[in-house]
Amino acid sequence: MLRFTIRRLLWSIPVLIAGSFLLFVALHMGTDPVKAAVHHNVSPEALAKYKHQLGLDKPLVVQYLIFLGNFFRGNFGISYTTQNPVWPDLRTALINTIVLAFAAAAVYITIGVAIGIISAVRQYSVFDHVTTTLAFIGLALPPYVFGLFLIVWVTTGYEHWFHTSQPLLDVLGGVYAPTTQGFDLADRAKHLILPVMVLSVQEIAVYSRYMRTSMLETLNSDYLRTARAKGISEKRVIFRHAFRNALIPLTTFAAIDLGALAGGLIITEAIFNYQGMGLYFLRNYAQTDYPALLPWMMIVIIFVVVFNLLADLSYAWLDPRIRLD
Amino acid sequence: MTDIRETAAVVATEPGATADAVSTAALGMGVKPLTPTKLAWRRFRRHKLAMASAVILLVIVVMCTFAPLFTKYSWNTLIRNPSGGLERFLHPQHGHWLGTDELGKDWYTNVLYGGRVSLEVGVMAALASTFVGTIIGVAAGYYGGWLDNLLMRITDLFLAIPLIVSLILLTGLPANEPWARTLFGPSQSVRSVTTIIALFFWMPVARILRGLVLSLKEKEFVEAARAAGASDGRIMFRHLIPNCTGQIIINTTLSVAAAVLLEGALSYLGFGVDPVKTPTWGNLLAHAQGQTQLLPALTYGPGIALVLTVLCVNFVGDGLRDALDPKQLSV
Repeated sequence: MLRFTIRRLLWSIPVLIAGSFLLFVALHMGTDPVKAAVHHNVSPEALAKYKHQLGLDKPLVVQYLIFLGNFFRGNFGISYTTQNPVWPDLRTALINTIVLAFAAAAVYITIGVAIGIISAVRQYSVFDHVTTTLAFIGLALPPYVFGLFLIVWVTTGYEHWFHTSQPLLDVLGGVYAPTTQGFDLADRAKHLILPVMVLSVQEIAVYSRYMRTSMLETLNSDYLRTARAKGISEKRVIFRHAFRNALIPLTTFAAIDLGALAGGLIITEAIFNYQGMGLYFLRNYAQTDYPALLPWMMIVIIFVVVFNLLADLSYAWLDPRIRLD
Repeated sequence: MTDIRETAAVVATEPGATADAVSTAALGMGVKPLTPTKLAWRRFRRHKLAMASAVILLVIVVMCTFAPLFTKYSWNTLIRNPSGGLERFLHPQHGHWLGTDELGKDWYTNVLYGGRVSLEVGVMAALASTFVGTIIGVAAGYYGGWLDNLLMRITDLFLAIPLIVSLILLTGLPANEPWARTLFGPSQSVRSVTTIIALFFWMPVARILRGLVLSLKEKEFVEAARAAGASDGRIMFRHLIPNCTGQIIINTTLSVAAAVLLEGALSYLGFGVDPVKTPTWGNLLAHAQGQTQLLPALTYGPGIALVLTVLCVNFVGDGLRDALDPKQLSV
């Protein structure tokens, strides 16, 4: 297990470096922070001087190494646009996204796993057929369609159908209502309802299918036949023996999935104007704010790599059969 | 699998089985021999949802492809009333089935023309990425060793970088870099969006085909081909890839659905196809979101068209899986 851990750990370092370097290069090639200056009759000499001050005239590899050094020393730099340190904004965005991601994950993993177990235990029942069809529909409902429909129904639709001028939820976007001061759990939770719903629809479909397959595989395995043959009650077979083993592949899947959520909520956050990592990226990308974007990318990739690592390690730990050499 | 024909189908898809073996197996049971394609079609037809989806999908594709036949306007025609004023924010009605937007453009026409581009991007991106993925997967699986290691590490790397962020960053390239303009096409064009999506879609196909080839290359028919003096290229293209056709078709279908969704996401965020030049379902949705207060019905047209298309493609993919891969029992 130790050797496996070390090998996996060592392998994640090149992925981290190569992945962040690719994004770094793509960002520097696709955007130019001083481009706007061209429209303001800035002389080429002044432009060159400005670029030199920002360190943008150095070769890309050197710029990348400087950034990497600063990042790992905790020196996140000053934003071009706000002239404030980058970290406080980034931290707020990260916390908001983590709150949303975990709230959503708690909802969709619970519901998805429950549906998956019932469909597997009652394979080919009405429940199984209905949830299978619903899962197909859920998979085809991307956040930007379902989110829009929800907004339309919760606002205009609700007012129209119930003959009222009061919308169902008075504030749809953001993290807090504009009037809220400081921390307010109730208001916070209210603003999570719609984004969590939008995120959950697709994920419940994925998780219930995954759990169903995994559960069916376990239910048909030899050791469960032995358990049944020994006379253990069906309830105990399902919950003590099958369920726990069927969860193993799901743990891996969930870990990878959660790691990707750190940067992957862009669309949901854009729809609901939720001030998380996705919106942070879109806002700073529009401003070509390199100092704000680079630590963001690094953190997103670190999340992916670390959670992938956790997935592999937990899998090897839970299922001793796959601990290769 | 109680049907005799099904049994014959298993024999037929078993690599290395000759046509003779199939016909003897089938003839022995007193049944007319059927080609593997016919058998697959038979199994596909039995999947009712997939059949219904295929029909709906055909209708959508025909209506979008031949859009000018189904609407009397062009997507950028401004609808005017007899006195010359613009017909803005018309509610859905006869002649304007989905209403008109804030400029007076017929929304039904826009959804049809938008579907053209969305479907084109989806299909082309899926084909291109499957092509690349097939080559990479087969090469990695067949040659093994350091090449396999290298290709699979690259695959891992592509899976580790966040998808939408990478796509957004790549969409910036054509505007600044001449080489990217030659490679991807002008910025915000249909071609550039297709290429960029395809660049991030080959990984699953590559992994699946690598796995398949790893097991196939140990089979006797490959050994026989090699003994007969076939070159590596011939073994890969004439023996291994044809044996993976089922998986390739299933994966292409499912990638079409995923690529349509991704094009929608990119266009929705404003990094996809330029809404001023070309409508797509994604940018129509983004456009409609700005008008939800005034005419919420605008979101329904492109939204439902997109969801219905993706749903049907997925059902067809499911049907194809049952039809082309009978060994894999649907659990």
